[in-house]
Amino acid sequence: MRYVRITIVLLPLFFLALVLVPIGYSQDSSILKIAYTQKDIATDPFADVWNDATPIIIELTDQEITEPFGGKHLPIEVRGLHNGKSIGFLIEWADSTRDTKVTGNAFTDGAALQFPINLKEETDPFMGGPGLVNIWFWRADWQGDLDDGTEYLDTKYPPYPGYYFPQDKQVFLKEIKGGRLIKDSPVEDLVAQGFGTLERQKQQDVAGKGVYEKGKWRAAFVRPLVTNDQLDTQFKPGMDSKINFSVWDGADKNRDGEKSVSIDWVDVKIEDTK
Amino acid sequence: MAKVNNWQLSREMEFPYGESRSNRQWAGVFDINKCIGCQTCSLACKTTWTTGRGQEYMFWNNVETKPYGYYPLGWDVKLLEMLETQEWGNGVYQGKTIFEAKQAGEKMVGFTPEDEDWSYPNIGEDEIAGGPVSQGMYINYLPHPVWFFYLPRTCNHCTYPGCLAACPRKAIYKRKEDGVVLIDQKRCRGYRKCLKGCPYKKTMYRVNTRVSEKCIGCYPKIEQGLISQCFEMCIGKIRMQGFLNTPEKADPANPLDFLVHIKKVALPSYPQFGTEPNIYYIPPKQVPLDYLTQIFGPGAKKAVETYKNAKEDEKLIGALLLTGSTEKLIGSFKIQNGQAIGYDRKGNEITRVPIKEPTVVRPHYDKRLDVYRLDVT
Repeated sequence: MRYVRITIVLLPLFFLALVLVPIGYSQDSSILKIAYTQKDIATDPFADVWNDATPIIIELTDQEITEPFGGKHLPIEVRGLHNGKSIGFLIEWADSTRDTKVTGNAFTDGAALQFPINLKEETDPFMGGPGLVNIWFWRADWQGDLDDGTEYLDTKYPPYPGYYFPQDKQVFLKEIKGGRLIKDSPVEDLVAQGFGTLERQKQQDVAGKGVYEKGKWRAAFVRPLVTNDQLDTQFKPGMDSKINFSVWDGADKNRDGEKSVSIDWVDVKIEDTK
Repeated sequence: MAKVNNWQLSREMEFPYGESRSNRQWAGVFDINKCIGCQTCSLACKTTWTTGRGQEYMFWNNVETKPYGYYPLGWDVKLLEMLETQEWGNGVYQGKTIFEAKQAGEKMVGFTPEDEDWSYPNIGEDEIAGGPVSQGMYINYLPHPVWFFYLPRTCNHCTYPGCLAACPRKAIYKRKEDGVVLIDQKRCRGYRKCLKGCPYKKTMYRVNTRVSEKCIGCYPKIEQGLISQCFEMCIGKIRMQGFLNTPEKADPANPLDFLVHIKKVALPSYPQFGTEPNIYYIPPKQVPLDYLTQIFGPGAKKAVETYKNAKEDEKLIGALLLTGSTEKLIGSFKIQNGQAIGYDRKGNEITRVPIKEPTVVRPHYDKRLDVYRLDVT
């Protein structure tokens, strides 16, 4: 009888321990270690190389610092790698829908990494200030454009042959090719210094890719450790840095500050080159 | 939230930014008693500005039949419901504006239209309200027991724009020189907060550029002293465009000030939303007063009375007759020798119309041609 009682007490504890300390996760979950690898770091989030890194779990929460509020509690799995030349981050999170199509009231999934540009300067973990932040923003709609092509009204219902779209050559639509906004990369390299200051950088240095599989998004971000852009954060092997995360759920009409965020900077430790 | 003065509500109200009025304010007066719903304005705008890919659904200018027409669907009634009671007392608005009725976590009250809501620009067209209509019914009194009217709508280039207040990036700005409200296409990141924030639903998302757009008030024409496309092309001559002063600075020689502030015959639509819109409507006299008050505020009764008696007021008739008589922005006007004369802002004459057209009555029977005329005047 006593044996049974002990089992009743201990068994749940055993299962709890299984949940809390999953095998393979970094022991110190508060630090993101950027492991050194000799392999090329691929933008394919399912490439083998990513198995060289140990993931940690970061608990995101809803954003309620600046209006409009939004987002939700969302655990994300994060890992990082470098090979002495490039640095890569991979994040994975559960999302029940693949929201890559935008319309007037349909929004895209997305994920962003944020770094302080100058580690010595005081930098707010939410969009920066007074120190600048460098943001790498992966957008599912741009990923969808690249992977699926996107169906527009004029592809679904073509205008009569020879119909001229006078605006296709307008200056403010420079980035549009053949009437479409096609980005070369689904990742945007941005800079910010506080709420409402986000700007796309002139020089785009970040590559990446997101893949949706089995109810989860997996997005990879890859960049050279060092760039010649003053608005970029710079990395070197052996250094400590900081990172912050945001995830948008298009189905929940997330956009702008309506997103799930990490509540403070996460420490990053970049492993020395072996 | 700052406190700003909204003269249309006769009180101060809350707004995210302090009061900063433009040096001049883009404005229009629409006499909707004369609107025939021909949509020439809609097409004038469409062919000028929204012929591109991704703009197929856009009508920066639209004309809808009230009370059952909406573009987008239910744009006004949905918001009226959200605002709850909207009482006026002695011309002072007692209810809450969209900015004052906001809840925590939001900048204002509003909703984002669904895609289908934009898909029926002609919904409710020519549908009548009221009734019943009996056989042989003859209506010879005002207001009419069965009624509808056309409501032409553009961006109101509001003094306190909901779209501007809603934008978290300050990508929307109001020009100091003419009060035109614009979306900076380079700063906009397509969050669509403005779609929710604009109570008139006049910002629109363009799916291939992934940013939002809106009526630009034809500012390239305004800069040249010309009126906007939808004003110029109006075949019913219902639209007058110019610059409007605040009531305390009202200039009786400015036809817009004269109609809006002095005769109070032209009224803003849904002033209770609190954005101080700058298109002013002369309410249609056939429509029951309750509805007119809901849409144009407490001044509706007096405006209809003034309009019905306009023939006894030479200056008022003159201002109304100048409407649609020139493609240039009108700065001032005067009545002289039975004519209404319009001037540009530099004082040059730009138009002249007779208060009373000369009438010639021809005999019913023409002896020379040996025909009977049906058209004798």
